[in-house]
Amino acid sequence: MTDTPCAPDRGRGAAAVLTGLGAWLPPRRVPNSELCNRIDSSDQWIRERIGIAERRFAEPHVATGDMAVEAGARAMASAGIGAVDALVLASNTPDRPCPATAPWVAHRLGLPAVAAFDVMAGCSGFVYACTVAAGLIASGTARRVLVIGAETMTALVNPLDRATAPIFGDGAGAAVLEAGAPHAEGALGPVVWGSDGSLSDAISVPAGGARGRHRRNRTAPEEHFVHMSGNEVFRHAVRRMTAAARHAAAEAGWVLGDVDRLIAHQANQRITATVADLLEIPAARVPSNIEQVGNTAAASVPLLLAHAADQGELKPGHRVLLVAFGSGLAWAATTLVWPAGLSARLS
Amino acid sequence: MTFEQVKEILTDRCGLPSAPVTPDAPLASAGVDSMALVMLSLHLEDRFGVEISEDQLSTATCVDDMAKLISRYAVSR
Repeated sequence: MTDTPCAPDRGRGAAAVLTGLGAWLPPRRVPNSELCNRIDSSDQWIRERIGIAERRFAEPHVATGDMAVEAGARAMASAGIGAVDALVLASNTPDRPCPATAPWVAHRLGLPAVAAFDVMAGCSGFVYACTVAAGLIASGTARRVLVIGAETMTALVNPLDRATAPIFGDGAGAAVLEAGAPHAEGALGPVVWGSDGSLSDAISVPAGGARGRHRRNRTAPEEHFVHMSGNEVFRHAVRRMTAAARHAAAEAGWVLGDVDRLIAHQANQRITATVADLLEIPAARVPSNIEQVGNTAAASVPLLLAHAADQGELKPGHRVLLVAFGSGLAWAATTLVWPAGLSARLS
Repeated sequence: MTFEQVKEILTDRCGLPSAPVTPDAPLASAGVDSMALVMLSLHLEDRFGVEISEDQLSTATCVDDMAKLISRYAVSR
């Protein structure tokens, strides 16, 4: 068990305060009916078992960096700022294996010479990236950080794989974190995070990395797609998300009954419902957008934050518990009190 | 554990449609897929302190048989 608390607000410097939110989705909507024939499934099965009605697919000329630029620009507009000290991009689908995508995103956002790097932590990537940003702020290395979660999951998904094809979608969400008082509204609370590399094969792309370099010409096309052991992932997702959420709430000094909104990584509606049920958080306090956007991996949490804020589901003063889980395996949870005056930018 | 208790978990907690969950229904006919078995296993452990894996649950021939199987695990713990 490696649930390690990380407490950026324990007197070691400024807290990271959420001041801007942005999101961008590719315009192309892909309903279940478009996938069903090639994966021998049905709209009803996908809705009932996964909770998804449609997802977005990026056009072939659009990649992760492009979506990150769109979401990042909206987050900065939401915060009313034109510059940041650092940019952290969470993604499992970088534009290229090398270099990192973040510097190109910074360049396109008109942020010359800013520190910019990628974080890969599966679907927990955005919360991990926020934790890194909070550390940069607490140490005084940066006062303002743009954190983006962006994914072109269609680059990794085998359209003929029944286990993954209905699940994933493309998109990007972003947040601006700025130095502030530890107990200010919007300040990220203590983070509980961890990983379990003994289960690295549970969600993985077998080919394309350094480990397979000697058999590059002998890899089957399917090895370049994401593979997922559904039941194993489901069990660990529920256990880890529930434990991390409980731990993060306790670290913040909250009881679970205090939680006004649970923002959970949108992996599968049944996972979210089970986690909420085990935490005894009523369904009405658990916003969801998986029905419309699918599982967007590292973009999932910021997209849900932006959509929930835009729809008025997150109100000033709400105690919000964030939790994510994904490949690695890696998980993370944290808390914040929803700030007044934050308007998410979706367009 | 009674059939009614198992049905309540399957329908209220695991989100399965109620009508197909009858005592004699084979698990597949009742809509109890592998993910539902995982959810049931987690609920049994979290709420009732009964540790029974989804693989063990899947050996039941029908929903009522699964309720009896859970009862045996609950007694033996």
